[in-house]
Amino acid sequence: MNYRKIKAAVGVNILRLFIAITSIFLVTFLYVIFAKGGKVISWEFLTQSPRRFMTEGGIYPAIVGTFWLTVLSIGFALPLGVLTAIFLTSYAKPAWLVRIVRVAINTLAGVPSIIYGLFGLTVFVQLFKFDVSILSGALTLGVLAMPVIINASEEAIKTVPKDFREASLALGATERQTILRVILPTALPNILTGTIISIGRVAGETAPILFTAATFYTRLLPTSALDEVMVLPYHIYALMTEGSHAAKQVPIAYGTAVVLLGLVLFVSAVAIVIRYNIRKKRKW
Amino acid sequence: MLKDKLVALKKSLIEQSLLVQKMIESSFLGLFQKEIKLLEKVLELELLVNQKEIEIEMDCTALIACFHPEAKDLRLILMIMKMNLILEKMGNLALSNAKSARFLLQHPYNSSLIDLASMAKETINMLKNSINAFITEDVMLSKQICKNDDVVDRLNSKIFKKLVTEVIPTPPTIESAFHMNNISKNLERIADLATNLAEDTVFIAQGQIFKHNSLIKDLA
Amino acid sequence: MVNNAHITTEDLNLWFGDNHVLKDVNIPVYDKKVTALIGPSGCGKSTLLRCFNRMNDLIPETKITGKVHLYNKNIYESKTDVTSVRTKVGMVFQKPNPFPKSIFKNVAYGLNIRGISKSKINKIVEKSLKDAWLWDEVKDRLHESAFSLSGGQQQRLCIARAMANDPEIILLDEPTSALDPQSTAKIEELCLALKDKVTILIVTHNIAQAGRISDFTAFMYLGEMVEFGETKKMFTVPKDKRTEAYLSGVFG
Repeated sequence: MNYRKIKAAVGVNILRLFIAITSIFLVTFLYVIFAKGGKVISWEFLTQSPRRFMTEGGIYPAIVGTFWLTVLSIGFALPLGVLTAIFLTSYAKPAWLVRIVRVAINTLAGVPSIIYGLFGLTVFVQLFKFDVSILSGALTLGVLAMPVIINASEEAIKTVPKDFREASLALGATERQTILRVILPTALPNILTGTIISIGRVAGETAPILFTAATFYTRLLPTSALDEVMVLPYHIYALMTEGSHAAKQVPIAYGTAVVLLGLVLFVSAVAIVIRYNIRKKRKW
Repeated sequence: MLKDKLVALKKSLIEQSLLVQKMIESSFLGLFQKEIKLLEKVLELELLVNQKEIEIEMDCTALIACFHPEAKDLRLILMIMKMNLILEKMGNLALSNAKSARFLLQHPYNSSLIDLASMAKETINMLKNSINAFITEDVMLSKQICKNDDVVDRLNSKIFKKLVTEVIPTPPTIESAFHMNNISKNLERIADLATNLAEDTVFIAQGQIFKHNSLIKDLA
Repeated sequence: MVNNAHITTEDLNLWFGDNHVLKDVNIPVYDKKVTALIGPSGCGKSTLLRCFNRMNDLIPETKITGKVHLYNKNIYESKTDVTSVRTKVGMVFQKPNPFPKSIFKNVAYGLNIRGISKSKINKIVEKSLKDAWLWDEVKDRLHESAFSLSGGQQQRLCIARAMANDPEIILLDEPTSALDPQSTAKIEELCLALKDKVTILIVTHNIAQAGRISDFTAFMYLGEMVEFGETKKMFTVPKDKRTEAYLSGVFG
């Protein structure tokens, strides 16, 4: 038989094999989580505070905490990230500053998350005196999310055809008007993609918020940005390692995982829908 | 773009033909009606005709250089260049007639001018028709003009023979006779050129070379 | 023929890095006439065109000496407001480049950035689209995306967009090279109609196009302005041997 055909067949099938393996991992992963945590899910679980040493009740405060942390951190990181990307692509002067910024971004992207936690503790909690609070946690998570958003935004802006910028400038627009009226609106869908990725990352990080925002138990829901808060990932960790009633608490931990996954998927879905709608209006 | 310019060019050529027509008419009427002023007018018109000939030629060249015309547009421009030359030649012949006519007014020749008058009338008609055929691209009329050339040829021969038989007995009138003959010959030449104009119109309209009363080649 | 040239260059030199791209260029651009820039690839014609609205500023390591006069002002004087120059000098590019916005918003862009009032904008947009021979085709769908138009229509949209600023001169950089023959013919006729309203300077690599639509032609070769003159005279009797060679297709 043809030697080349055999090679091709082998290649394709190896690829199929790896896809299968990956899919199996994904499926198993989801199955384990949902199997162990699914039975705990109920309306009560989602809307009530925990009672009796976390063995009864729900995880509502943690849901609220994670939600606010995510929203605030993205709210902090997105504008800063986009502005940085605009600086890097459109102005790019002076050259030394550009180099410093790039080094900073690349370094930050590789920093382990626990170190973010220590950083947040030192700077936001102690130095700025925000204390353990949503604000400290959101700022810390924001710094974590920035490299991703900056890279995605930069790529998005670079993908905008040069023609548009030329046309805008040739009509007498300033650089600023060109960015605001033409480049950013065009790059928006791709910037949103970077944001979506960040949402997933930020919602699930435990280490950065360990010392900066999270608390194991608080009776009240947070009323301001300066309150400490319960969060889903930390809740899982706490229940699994420090809980006193393992039998009841382990399923709750898995249930919390299900909720966390669900929350991330939900927020991502919303962002995807928004991006889809923007792309549909675009038609190019 | 090109279409407008071709319309203007065609108009220019028609104006030139009217000038030449006037020259021929004036050169003959000046003799017939014994009006020397008409003959002087021919000289004035000749200057205009010469100037216009150069303008038309430059326009044609510029159009070819700038527009690279093809097919009918190309035929039109090339034929207008040829017709331009033909009209200028007719003008020269009319001028020659005017000079001969001036001589004859001072040294009249005792022969009837009737034949010459018929010839003049027929020639001018041929020119008018050939111009009309050009304006409307009338192929039938063009071919007809070529056939009518015979009439003028015959009149020319008749006048020549008459002059020869008449002049021998009366030598002092020989110079006048020559001038009469000159006028006749020139008119014949003008008529001939008018048929060339008609042939060129056939080429413009149909792309067929029509010479010597028959189709030479089919370029299609 | 009395002509006025209020738009000219004076001893214009341009370098991209070490590359001397324009050499002592002096060119008059006569009012309300079509002037064509022709020459083989790389001769500097597009670069020269882009000097008239300072679009070469966007290319790094560009050095320029000399002057470009736009009605009593040297646009390369220091402290010149570049955006105001670009409002008075319109530009249409080789590849049609409408914004990813509606047809209306495209034409109104130059007006929006200057804060012109809404009532005026509607009128100007209609007039510009009519000038560009596009109004009838789009009047019922002004708020549809500009990308729903064909290539030729998009280019006319770009012309309308440039006209909306009421410029003194419009620069066209090979505007028909990306279009089919019918669209090309339409744009050429449009240029002839527009020249009564605005001066036109067009770069073209198509000699026949220059012959068809331009009143004046400038032939450029290796960065120099070799010859400039009335198109019909230059095409019949070029004065320079290099012009003659280019026009007869010896090189290009």
